[in-house]
Amino acid sequence: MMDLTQRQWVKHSVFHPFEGFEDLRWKKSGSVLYATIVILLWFVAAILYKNAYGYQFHASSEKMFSVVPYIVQTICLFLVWVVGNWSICTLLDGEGTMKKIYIYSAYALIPYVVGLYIQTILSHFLVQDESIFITVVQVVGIIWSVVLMFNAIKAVHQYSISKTILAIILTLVAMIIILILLVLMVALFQQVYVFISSVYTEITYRVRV
Amino acid sequence: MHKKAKRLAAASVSLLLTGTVIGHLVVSASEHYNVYNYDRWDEAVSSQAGYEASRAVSGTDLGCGEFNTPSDLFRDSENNFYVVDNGNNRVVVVDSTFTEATDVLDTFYYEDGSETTLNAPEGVYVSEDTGYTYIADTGNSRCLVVDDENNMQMELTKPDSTLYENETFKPQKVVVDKAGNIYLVLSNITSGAAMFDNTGEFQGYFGSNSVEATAEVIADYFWNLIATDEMRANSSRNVAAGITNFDIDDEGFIYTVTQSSSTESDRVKKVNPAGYNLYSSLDVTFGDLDSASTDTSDYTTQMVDIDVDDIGRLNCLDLESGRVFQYDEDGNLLFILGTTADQVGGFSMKVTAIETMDENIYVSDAMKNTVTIFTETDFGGIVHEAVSLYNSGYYEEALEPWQEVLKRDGNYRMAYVGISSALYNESDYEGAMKYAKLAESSKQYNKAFEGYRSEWLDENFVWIVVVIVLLVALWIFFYIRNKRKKKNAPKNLIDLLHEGEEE
Repeated sequence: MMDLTQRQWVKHSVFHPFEGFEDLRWKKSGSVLYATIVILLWFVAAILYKNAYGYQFHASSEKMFSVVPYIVQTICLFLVWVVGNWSICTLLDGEGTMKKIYIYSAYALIPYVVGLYIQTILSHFLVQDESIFITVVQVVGIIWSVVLMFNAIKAVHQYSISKTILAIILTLVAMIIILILLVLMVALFQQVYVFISSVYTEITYRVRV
Repeated sequence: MHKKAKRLAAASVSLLLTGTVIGHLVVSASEHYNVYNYDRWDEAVSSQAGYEASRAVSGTDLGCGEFNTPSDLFRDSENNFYVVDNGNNRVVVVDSTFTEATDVLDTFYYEDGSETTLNAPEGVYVSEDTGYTYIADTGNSRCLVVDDENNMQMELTKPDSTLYENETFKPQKVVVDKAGNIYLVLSNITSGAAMFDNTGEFQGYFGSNSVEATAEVIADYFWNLIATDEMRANSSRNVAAGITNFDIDDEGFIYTVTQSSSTESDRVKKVNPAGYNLYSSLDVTFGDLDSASTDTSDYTTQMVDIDVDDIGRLNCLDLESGRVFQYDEDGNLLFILGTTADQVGGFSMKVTAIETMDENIYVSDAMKNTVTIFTETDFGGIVHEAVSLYNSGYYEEALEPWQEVLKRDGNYRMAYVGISSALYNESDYEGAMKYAKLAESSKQYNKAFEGYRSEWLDENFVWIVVVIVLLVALWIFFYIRNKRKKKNAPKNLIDLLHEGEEE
């Protein structure tokens, strides 16, 4: 029973929203490689969605392209989610390891990411009057992913429904705290860097004289 | 001999050509201030000048003595100009070329023969329909209605009506509609313009501004709900800014401007006879945007006057920057001209009124006591031609002028939209898409793309059907073959074992 390859496991967990992740856990399966591919595909999708979207739907176009916001909005956000969820659920008797949370969460994102690609492709064939089709794809993708994500967290930690909800809310709070700390850290290191560099410049001046 | 003549002809032709080219360059570079326009991202970009200042006219030039704070300009249907000379208590009538004062209105006669004079008048209007001249005699708290012979026809003073609740009555500007209704902008009145019918009866207010729902206003509203009466009496009230000036177009729409540093929503309004602002749904910020005020100092555009010309273009005058902003009837910015400077074409910080005639714009300056005349440049003429063709729906006819506009100023965004529309009407959808993209107009692109798509579908319909049929056939073929294979394939040992278990 359930002797699936890693690729079949991906398909199985996406198309069996309520049992898929339990099966995945039961078989101790899931691949970091596939999870990473999904996240990278999300990153690419986010860029395409913003920059290669059908022109007839453009609300505004950016004057300058920078890749940094896209990294922050996808890869960083996902990593913070994983770390936040792990740190909360370790305290709440969760059974998931960091690796498992990473894999399960990434699998849960697949419908949303696929939705992004479909929306981007559709946007080149539809006109504004038909934008309802794109909205449908978007809504379906998001709902599907939310359901998957919920069950992924539930399965990976072996929680009850109410505890899963609590864990997710706390995870969001933890994410905010992590982000604030990160910003603080960056600011602090920047100051240290400025201090060191100014001391260095000062010394070089003295040495020259 | 023959050859020589040919050479000479060629040389003279090339000379002529270079001459015209240089001539154009000189014209476009003659303004002494930075001419700019706004791009798709609302950032100021250099632009060609649509108008150039041709001269500044003082009272002495006109032969009527120096002006003293001219406060309003008006042009009647016979192209006579009326300059309200506030400090000298008179209205000067100037001929259409703005070279000579033809009349001075300062004394008026009642029916019984007694005389009356003006005191610091601020506004004038001459109605084509009633034939009367209307003067806002601010210092005397009245509005005069006089005929050609300076005989008083009517005198509007503070109404007795219970509708009029204010202590003062200081008319500053006046317009009259086709039916003879008189609209007055009153000083310190925030309820809009006062409206009188043609017999001088007070009718009510017209075109008042609304309070913008800023965070502060909402917070005040919340506090007022729980405050005591005493607290309420001591708090400040949120009142919309009163309108500053207005103009009326041929169709009877009244355009108002409001000088206020706190709100920009009611800066320029087009009010229909029911008092509804037709520009409220327009996504336009009239006047300067933030990106223009970076170089020198921060300021907010404060419109003091508006003029709607015969073609329907709006010319708005900004007090703070001394600039004139010209828009077409749909609120598209056409040109920005003028500045604060001492040269001709620059103003002091006290511009007061704007008027137009054909390709000229007249701006009065109350500190310099002059009227500056701007004249359309070649570039301005081409843009205006293109815009008026475009706005009346002659897209194909507008194509050529738009292309000429782009040759002279590649930043002129409306031109791309115009060319795109023209190409769309000629069913050149791909070209329309290209120019719509350059114009950053997704609405226009959407239209062009829809045309392109249906054309493409029409042309390739057979192929699409063939491909779909082929794909379906292939799928059925493989489906059947797979089934057969599975049936015939020998089962492996493990599967057989499992099957046994389940049974």
